[in-house]
Amino acid sequence: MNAIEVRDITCGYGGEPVLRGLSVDVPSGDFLGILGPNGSGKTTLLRAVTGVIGLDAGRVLLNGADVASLARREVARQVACVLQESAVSAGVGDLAFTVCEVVGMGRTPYLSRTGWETRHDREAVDRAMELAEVAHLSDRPVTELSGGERQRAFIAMALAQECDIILLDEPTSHLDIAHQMGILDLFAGLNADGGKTVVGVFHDLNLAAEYCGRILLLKDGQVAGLGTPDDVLTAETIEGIYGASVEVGPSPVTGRPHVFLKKS
Amino acid sequence: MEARPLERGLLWTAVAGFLAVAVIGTVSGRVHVQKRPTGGSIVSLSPNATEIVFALGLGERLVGVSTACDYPPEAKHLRKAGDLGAPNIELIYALKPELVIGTMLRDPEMKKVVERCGARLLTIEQQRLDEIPDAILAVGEAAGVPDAARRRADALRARIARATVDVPDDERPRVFIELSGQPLRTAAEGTFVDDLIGRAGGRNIAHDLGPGWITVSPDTVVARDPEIIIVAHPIGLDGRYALGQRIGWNGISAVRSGRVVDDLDLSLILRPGPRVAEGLEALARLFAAYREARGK
Amino acid sequence: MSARRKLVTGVAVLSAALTVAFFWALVAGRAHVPLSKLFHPDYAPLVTLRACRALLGIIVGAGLAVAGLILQAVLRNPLADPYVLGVSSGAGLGAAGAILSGLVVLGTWVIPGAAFAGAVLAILLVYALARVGKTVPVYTLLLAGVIVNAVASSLLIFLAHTAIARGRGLYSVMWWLLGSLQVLELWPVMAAGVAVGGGLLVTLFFTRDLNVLSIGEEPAAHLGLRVERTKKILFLVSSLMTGAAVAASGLIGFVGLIVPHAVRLVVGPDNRVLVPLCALAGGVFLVIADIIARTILPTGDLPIGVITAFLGGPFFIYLLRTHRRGGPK
Repeated sequence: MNAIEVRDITCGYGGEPVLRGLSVDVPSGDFLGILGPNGSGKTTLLRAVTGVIGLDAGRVLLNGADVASLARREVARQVACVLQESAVSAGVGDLAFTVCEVVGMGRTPYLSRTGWETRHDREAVDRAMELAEVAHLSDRPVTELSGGERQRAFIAMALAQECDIILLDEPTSHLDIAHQMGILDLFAGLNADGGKTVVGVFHDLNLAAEYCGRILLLKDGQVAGLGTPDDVLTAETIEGIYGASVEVGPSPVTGRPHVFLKKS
Repeated sequence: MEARPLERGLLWTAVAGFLAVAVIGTVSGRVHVQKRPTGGSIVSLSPNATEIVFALGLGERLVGVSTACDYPPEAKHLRKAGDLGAPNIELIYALKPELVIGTMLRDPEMKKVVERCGARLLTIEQQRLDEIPDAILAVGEAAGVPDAARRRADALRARIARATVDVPDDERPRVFIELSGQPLRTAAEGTFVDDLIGRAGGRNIAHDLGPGWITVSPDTVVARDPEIIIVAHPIGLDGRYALGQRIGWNGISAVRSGRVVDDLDLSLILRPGPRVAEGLEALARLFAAYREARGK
Repeated sequence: MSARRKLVTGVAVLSAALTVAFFWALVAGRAHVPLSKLFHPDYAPLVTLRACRALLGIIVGAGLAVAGLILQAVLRNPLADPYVLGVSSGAGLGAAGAILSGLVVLGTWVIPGAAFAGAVLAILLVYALARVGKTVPVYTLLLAGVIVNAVASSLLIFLAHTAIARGRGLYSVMWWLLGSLQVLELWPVMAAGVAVGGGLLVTLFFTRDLNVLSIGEEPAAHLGLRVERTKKILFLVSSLMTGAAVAASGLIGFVGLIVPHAVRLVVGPDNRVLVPLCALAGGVFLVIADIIARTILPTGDLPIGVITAFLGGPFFIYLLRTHRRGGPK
């Protein structure tokens, strides 16, 4: 069974639709990277998958079930989403929660309105913090962390949801290279060892090429390419999509396609 | 817990201070509550009511007054039941009066407040001059001395009549009485102050601008050019100088000729009580002097 | 200390404080009631009066504190207080209109009724102005609140000017604007109690949601929250409690701002702990503030809003400090 099935969806934010008649299947265990120029609909696609925005046409299926028919809590038990740093608020002054409390919010889909956390919940939180390597920051307010640490805290929150599907919206954009690799290594591990389906929106073509099993190229809300990095990331395709002249060659370290800049 | 020692410290200090002030308030200045109502005890909530009570010879029955009650001088030593316009329910209760007299209390709450204290409320309304003797009558009836009240009221009416001056319109000086400077307020037709000016032989320039207690614009006053200005509020050492500072007011007859009166005993003309006849007489003398001086 | 233990300890401590404050309010006041005579029939009218007043203080304090807490969480703004969405000026306008039009003579229910009506109208207006499609974005809400407050305030000033010109009513309006817990009958207290109690009960079911909302509406939606529905319910509850409080006791400022921050300073930002503790702390705060309002001057009562405002100034300095320190990097 496919983890995610996007069937011919059209959606947007009022006015002109951003995605038009888009279809893509994501098998369980896939590590899919979504690439495309600004405004091509990458983030919109993620939002359509979790059901946060409504669809004008088409359906999205999660593990076989129509997202529109599922309760929000049910969706949150299947799909976790790690957003860009700017989309998440860390609180101001004394409204800031500690890392442990924020990660604990990842258990929201499993807790009743008036219940307290059980041991199982606490263990899930501890595991998530270990995985994301923020356990040593457990009692620090989120506002006191560096950018990289804060992103890891929110990743831990997503991990605490114990979902099989994880969506990433440019999770490493503002981080230095060590942090970028560290976080992507983490998800690679979850994908390879834990069998989780990972779908990530990337800005950096080379990072996507290194880590993703398949790549989805979007342009103007439509599919412009879908396949392995070797198939999709060619100089012609990139030029056609982004309008930038590049050379593509195999990376000397991993053999994966690597994009070289051709300055004019 | 979070490590914010300085703010925490400030918080606890603030809490301690807050509680300390409450404790101080609790233990200081408490008044004793009367055991049971003394027969016929009266509380007055305004200066004119206090004066009426004393004028009727009921001074001994008066157990509480407002902080504004200052005549007769004995009134100042009585226990206080609140400020003018803000009677305090606990203080009234502590005095356990039988009768509470207030002026123009439109708040329906007041009646309930007083009844809760086990007393009767008498509201006296005196807008016009001839309502003042009626107020004396009302107080007398409520306090059980109707005959004394009738005599006193008649005496007041007679004194007012005697002090009333009959002067042809064109001989009346134009008068402006300023009740407050900012905003500029005065009394128009329908107020006892306006009645006083008329009966004393003057012509209130604001008479037709009302009715009632009104605000008036400075240029209206300039346009109507009063010959006498009575300043009925504190204005500093030299009233004439202060008014002369106002733009355009230097040209007003009253300011030019120096007829700015700021030393009248205001409780005689602003307080609708038994001494209003004295106020009338004082005004009449003032206006007569003006007419004489102008005649020369 | 775990959240649950904080809650239990906090409730125990504050409930004790509230009981002490209540009895203190019975004993304190201009007229001296000896502790031994507290239940003596001689002093009954006085003690009953004080009890009603203290009870109202508890209800209004709890309502305003929790309403402020809710708005700070949903609007994600530490400066939010219960009046920011227009409730205060709408209610003020209603009450001033009632006082100055002389309708007051119809009965004591007129002012609270008009105030509540004004509050409701203001909330509806703010909501209508702020709606964008099916959602109510936080920033349009704040803007709409500012607009409604501004318009209603200017109308209020106009009414006040009319009052000065006519020479009456201004004192009552001012008193109402500064707030007073004076109450002579039980029914206004009961009415406010029902509204605030109901609101508190509903809020207790949304404490976790309040926590989750603080990281942002989109992340909250991804965690399974029905964000728009939750926001609407919480705004409704907050406005209801504020409207009831204002109708019963006029505009008492700063309670909804200070109490949530003060409690948060001690127990942290977890709303599951904050909601019950703010309710209790708000009650204690207002009861004691009322004691001060009733006893600090030799003859008059101070409007209680003066006491709370007095604490408001230094409090803003504190807020500025923490904001500067703990802001996002």
